[in-house]
Amino acid sequence: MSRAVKLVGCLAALAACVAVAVGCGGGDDGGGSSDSGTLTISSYDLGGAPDPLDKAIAGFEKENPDVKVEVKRTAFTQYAQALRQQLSTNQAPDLARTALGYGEASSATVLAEKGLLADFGDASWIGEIPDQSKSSTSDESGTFAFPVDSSAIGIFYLPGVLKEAGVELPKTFADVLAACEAGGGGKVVFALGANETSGMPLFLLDSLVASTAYAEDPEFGEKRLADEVTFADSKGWQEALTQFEEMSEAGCFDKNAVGISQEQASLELSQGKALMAVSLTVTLPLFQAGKPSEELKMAPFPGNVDAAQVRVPNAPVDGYVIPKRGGDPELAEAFIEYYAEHRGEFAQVDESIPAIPLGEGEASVPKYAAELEPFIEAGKVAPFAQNEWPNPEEQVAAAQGLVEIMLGATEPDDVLAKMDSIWTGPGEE
Amino acid sequence: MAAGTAPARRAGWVRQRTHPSRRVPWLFAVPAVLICFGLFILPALLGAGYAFTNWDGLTSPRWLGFGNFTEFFGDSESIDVLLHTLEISAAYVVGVNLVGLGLALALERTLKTRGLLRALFFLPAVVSPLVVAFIWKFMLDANGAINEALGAVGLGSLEKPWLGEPTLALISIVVVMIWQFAGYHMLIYSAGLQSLQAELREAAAVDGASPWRRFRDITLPLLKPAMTISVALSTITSLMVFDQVIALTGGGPAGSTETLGTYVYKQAFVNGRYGYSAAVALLLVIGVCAVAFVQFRVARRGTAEAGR
Repeated sequence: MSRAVKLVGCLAALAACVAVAVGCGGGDDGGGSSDSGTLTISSYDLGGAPDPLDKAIAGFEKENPDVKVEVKRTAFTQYAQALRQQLSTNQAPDLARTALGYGEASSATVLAEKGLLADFGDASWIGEIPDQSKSSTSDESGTFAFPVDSSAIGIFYLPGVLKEAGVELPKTFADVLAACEAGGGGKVVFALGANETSGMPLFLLDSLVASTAYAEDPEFGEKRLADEVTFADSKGWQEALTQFEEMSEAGCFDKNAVGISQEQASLELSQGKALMAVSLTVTLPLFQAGKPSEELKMAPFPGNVDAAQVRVPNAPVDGYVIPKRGGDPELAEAFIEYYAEHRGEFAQVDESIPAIPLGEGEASVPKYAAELEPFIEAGKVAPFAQNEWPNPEEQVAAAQGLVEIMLGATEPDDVLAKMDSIWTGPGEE
Repeated sequence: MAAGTAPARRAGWVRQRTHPSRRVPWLFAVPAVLICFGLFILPALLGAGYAFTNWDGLTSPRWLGFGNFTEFFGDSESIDVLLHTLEISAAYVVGVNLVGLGLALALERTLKTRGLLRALFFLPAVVSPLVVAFIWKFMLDANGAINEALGAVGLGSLEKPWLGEPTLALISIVVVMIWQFAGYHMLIYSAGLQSLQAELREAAAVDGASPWRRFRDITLPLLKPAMTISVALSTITSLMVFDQVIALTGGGPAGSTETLGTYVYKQAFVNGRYGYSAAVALLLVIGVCAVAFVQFRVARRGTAEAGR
């Protein structure tokens, strides 16, 4: 074999390596759909649950026969990572579904601060976004997210099970402790999954701070973002964590709660082994999975000894954004216009509540959560605290702190001090 | 002068004629080497480069120098993570080697079912660690099979939150790892035992040495090469533990079972701190290499001394 042949062979092998390596990095340089007739949407997989997006796509395609909509679905637990990957490569979709506010590394506000999202400009629905939701969907440069649905946190319960146990729905935090101390007739009073992946401790924390820190000062979140206040110095936050500790000590939760998952805790309630569970309206399918013997209901969680101070956490939770790297922003905007126009119809698919209200007199929560409605109508609502935390580690510190309180390994003040110590403001590192 | 250089040239020519033939095997390896370089070495080097930046996976990285490393060593949480990893590693290395050696010794004697038992003990090692861990999670859960079984036989007082209490959760992870890989280490020790000269042990038995003495003074020193491999492999496995922790506890409760492997994952994919995550991963790789290197050096010295 001549040297030249060997050299050519080596170069060919090297070229193959480079080609393989480049192939691994993506390489669709079109970015989303270069064809204006195709709209690419990135969303998470709801695991077989009805998805309003399907109905929206079918309607949009019917109205626009020349347009083809393709959905890239990723498992819910993998979605945040997948979306970041798509946005950092040349695979950005034209439209992406994501969580609103801060909270997670791929939440809308986090992405907008990094300059990765396009402005919706003068879309017709922008003026209808409720004022309290605007911090999750827009900034000084424009509107970067279309809020899809709104969610609330309250107590899930089965009326028959509660009645059988001789327990009444608590109206104040004193009632909560009294119910826990009474023992719940041999059942767990509050089903709580507090393992590492469960969101339930944070849902309870949101309910407690809604009626303490946010009842005292509805602007607490904005002030914390501006570094004008701290968690440790907030009487409301101190009270909320102390109340959590009192609930733990009063035997409100399963003795093994720290090792229980959200799914297991949801089953405890729906199978009648627990009396109540504090959770988000959008987690209803987890409770329904246990095939409850009667219709589930939701009531406000009283996080204050004064019933007048009780607030319900209620905020838009997810929405759609247009990545700047996407290929067809005009088509994406057209789709969102169509979605906004028919949002009431699509919300019926999963019994959700549109984040942009349909109009006067429309329900603001699903039917099973009608007991929350008076609070929402009276404006006795609060945001989800973690949606106003720019650093995702903050959420981890809060969740771990709650578990440590349950284990008796730390005190509320120490948890708050740690949350302050790792705080980083918007755009900081 | 030309005449003087001619023999040298000829010698050079001769060398050139012999060298190409020696190079042929290396040339065959070139494609594989290039593929390995492109797919493993190059990405690893690029990853190591990100360890010195604040890369968030979305925007352009900014050079931080050793900032990520100083943050790691200055943060009590990351030091806790390091300690959990070392605790798991120490318990696992001791446990899996003791159980593996015990099984190998137990199955050294002639048994009709020896082959079957070896296969059964080895079987868990060929199953994905993630699958094994999920099965164990089902059993160790608060309302899982183990607690249910304890309650059913009247031992309800022994029911524990196996994955919900920090110390128990750490122990549970180690037990699951030992259960899965003891059979693998049994095979390493079995191979070591089969290579021993039977005469030595027989002679000691004839001389009246007790079974313990024979094991301590003959079998164990001669097993050092097998032990070296087994200890090194178990150390590397345990320092890089990820699947079992993610599946069993997710690093909880309250981060009490977080290891370097899960910490790297969470920093990158949950917190979006790819640069910091790469720095911790780099530290992990350096640590694993250093431990493996030291173990092999110590063991080589020991083997040489045993040989003398």
